[in-house]
Amino acid sequence: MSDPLRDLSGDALQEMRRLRRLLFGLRLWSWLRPSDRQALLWWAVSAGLLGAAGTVAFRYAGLGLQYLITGSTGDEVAIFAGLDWWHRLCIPAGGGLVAGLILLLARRLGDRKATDYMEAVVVGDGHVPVRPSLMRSLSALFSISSGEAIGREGPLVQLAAVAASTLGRLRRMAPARMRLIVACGAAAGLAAAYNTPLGGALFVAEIVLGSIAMETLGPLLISSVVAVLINRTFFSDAPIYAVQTVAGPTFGAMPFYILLGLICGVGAHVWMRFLRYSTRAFEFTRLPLVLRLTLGGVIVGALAVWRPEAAGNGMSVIQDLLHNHNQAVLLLLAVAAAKILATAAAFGSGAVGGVFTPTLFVGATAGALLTAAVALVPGAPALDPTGFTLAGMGGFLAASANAPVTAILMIFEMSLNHQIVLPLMVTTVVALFTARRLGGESIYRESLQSGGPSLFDRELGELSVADLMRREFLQIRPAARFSELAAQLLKSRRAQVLVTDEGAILRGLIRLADVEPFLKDPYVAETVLAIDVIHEGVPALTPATTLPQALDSFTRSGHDTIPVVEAGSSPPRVVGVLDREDLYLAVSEITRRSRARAA
Amino acid sequence: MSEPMPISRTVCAYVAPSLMAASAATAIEQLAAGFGQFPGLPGARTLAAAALEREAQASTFLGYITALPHARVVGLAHLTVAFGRAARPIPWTRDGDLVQLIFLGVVPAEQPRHYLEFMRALAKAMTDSQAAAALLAAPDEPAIRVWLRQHLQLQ
Repeated sequence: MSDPLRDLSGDALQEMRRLRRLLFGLRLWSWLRPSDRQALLWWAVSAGLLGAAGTVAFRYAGLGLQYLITGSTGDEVAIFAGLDWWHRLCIPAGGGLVAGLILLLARRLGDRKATDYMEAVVVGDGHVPVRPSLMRSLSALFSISSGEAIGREGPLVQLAAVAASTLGRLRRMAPARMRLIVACGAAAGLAAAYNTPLGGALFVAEIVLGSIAMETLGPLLISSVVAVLINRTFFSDAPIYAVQTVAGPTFGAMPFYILLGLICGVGAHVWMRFLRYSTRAFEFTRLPLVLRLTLGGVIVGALAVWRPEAAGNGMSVIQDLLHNHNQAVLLLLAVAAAKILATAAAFGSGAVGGVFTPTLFVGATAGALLTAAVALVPGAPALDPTGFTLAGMGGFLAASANAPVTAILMIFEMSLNHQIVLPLMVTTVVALFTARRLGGESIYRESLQSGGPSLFDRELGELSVADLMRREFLQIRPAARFSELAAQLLKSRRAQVLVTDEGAILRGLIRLADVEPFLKDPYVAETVLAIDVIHEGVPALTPATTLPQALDSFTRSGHDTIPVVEAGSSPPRVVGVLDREDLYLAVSEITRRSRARAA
Repeated sequence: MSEPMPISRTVCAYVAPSLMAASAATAIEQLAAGFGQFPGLPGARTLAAAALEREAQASTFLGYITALPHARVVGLAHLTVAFGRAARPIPWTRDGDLVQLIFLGVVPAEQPRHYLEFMRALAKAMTDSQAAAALLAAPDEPAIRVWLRQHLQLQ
């Protein structure tokens, strides 16, 4: 046989050489290309790096702003304790005013609501918009730096998720992978914020993804480890609630740990209601957004005038509870009241932030108060305040977030004391079951969504394909060469491509699984057209198709993606696509929430 | 979705050892007519029209004096082939590429992978100069069928 190029000349020769170059590139890529799982771990490392960078930048920015506002940096309680009363009043109020103005500016720029990373992970295509998230983070920066009683994990996690989402968008990742990478970013942010690699990954797996499957947990762990390693080069590597000694678990103490679990379960239920009522109370005032946040700041400031412990997220107050065991019950009650009211004021006013540390604080106070109260009873056994404070934190977190595994691991990582594990497990499980008996809501789902019902809070029958479909989709013309098809599939890394005529008229779809083994074959590349490998007669949905009908279509067809066509269009015009995984995840989440509401 | 069928289930419905055709269109029409009343296939005219329409979009010339014109049929169980060996080389493409070995394929529309597997096997066979020479030199239809069974597993 002779060389096929020998008799060619001119354009045909050039075209053949171009194809050969392309095929060489495809072969090389195919050979070098890591497996999906290997690639995923690499992207998890990248998400961890970006998440850590966002976290470090936010923390330094916070310290800088705190210095500008108060003249010093560090523990908010210590700083506020050294301020005049009018400074304590005005600083959170001013912070609330500026934070509100930033949110107002964001609205003026058209950002009605930033997509929360949880929403992006669970139902969206993983896209977390950059500007709204940055604006909200900037607002949070002012709230937190001015001593508002709100956690910093909210903006930290959101920033890390935005960074990961941007990475995914730049790499044109498929939706399922994009969502996982955003989840990796969130895990990195949380792990870096609390120096808890295991807890950060578990938090996202258990609370956001609702699954501790290794397929997702592996990348989350890698991101968390990377983020914590980087964070430790800039900040302390010590656990944030390190304790020297915790009394070993005894049978005598166990009934009290069980009692603490009951208290935490009931307390978490009340805590969530209290935060919700606070939000409603601020809404009832009908004040404009800026004034609402300012009012929240004024309340926090006024409480800080009474008790400086009201300022900040509560981390230093928890550390004080863990190490200073000689506090009177009345003092503990006063600090708890000030802190809880301040958190409710900040959260209810709409200040951007998290409730993780404030929730830990309430649990810690419950544990400390129980030991102090028992000590007042003559003949009662002496309880270890440190152990009960830590167990209270875990129990309250588990009951509030509906996440027992996360709670146990996070408290263990935060304290790094193995003696706490057994009592922590007891208190956590009792608290969780008590909370579930009372409704089993999750504060995290509510708080991280910044209020307002989300897509998942609607009933399944109220939603349609239009709510879940992707409006951007890969398409190719029927007469496209196989080489072009291969290039598109490899570039996009999607499992299917739609074949359309001019005007997005649907012809069918091509599956990567059908053509992938032939990407290296020169005869196929030169001869085959898209129309030769098309699946015609694919089922199509319309934007009005209900989710149960869409589920039925996926089950019958076996396709991973189904085109969505304009209702009544003939020939059918494609307006989007629906991915099986998006649908399944959404239905699962909506059903879960619906069951929780019914319970 | 159904799994792709193994290539061993490709069927040879017709063999023309000395195809007399002056153009690609004539060759395709003659081979389509050769399918006759083969079960599961549409009429010869329909097949020829579909194959010619596809040929008009882009040539199915594989190189090595071989072409693989084809038509897709919904609901077909097996990839079914009619083979023709032209008595004289036929100008196949606009550039005048000559073809002597024509495999007219009727492809199950639901199994595009089956068609790609056949194309790969065909290209591999034709790049083997000894094998290609043997097909050109095969004396009659039974000898050609033996070759098709050995190299392409056509039944």
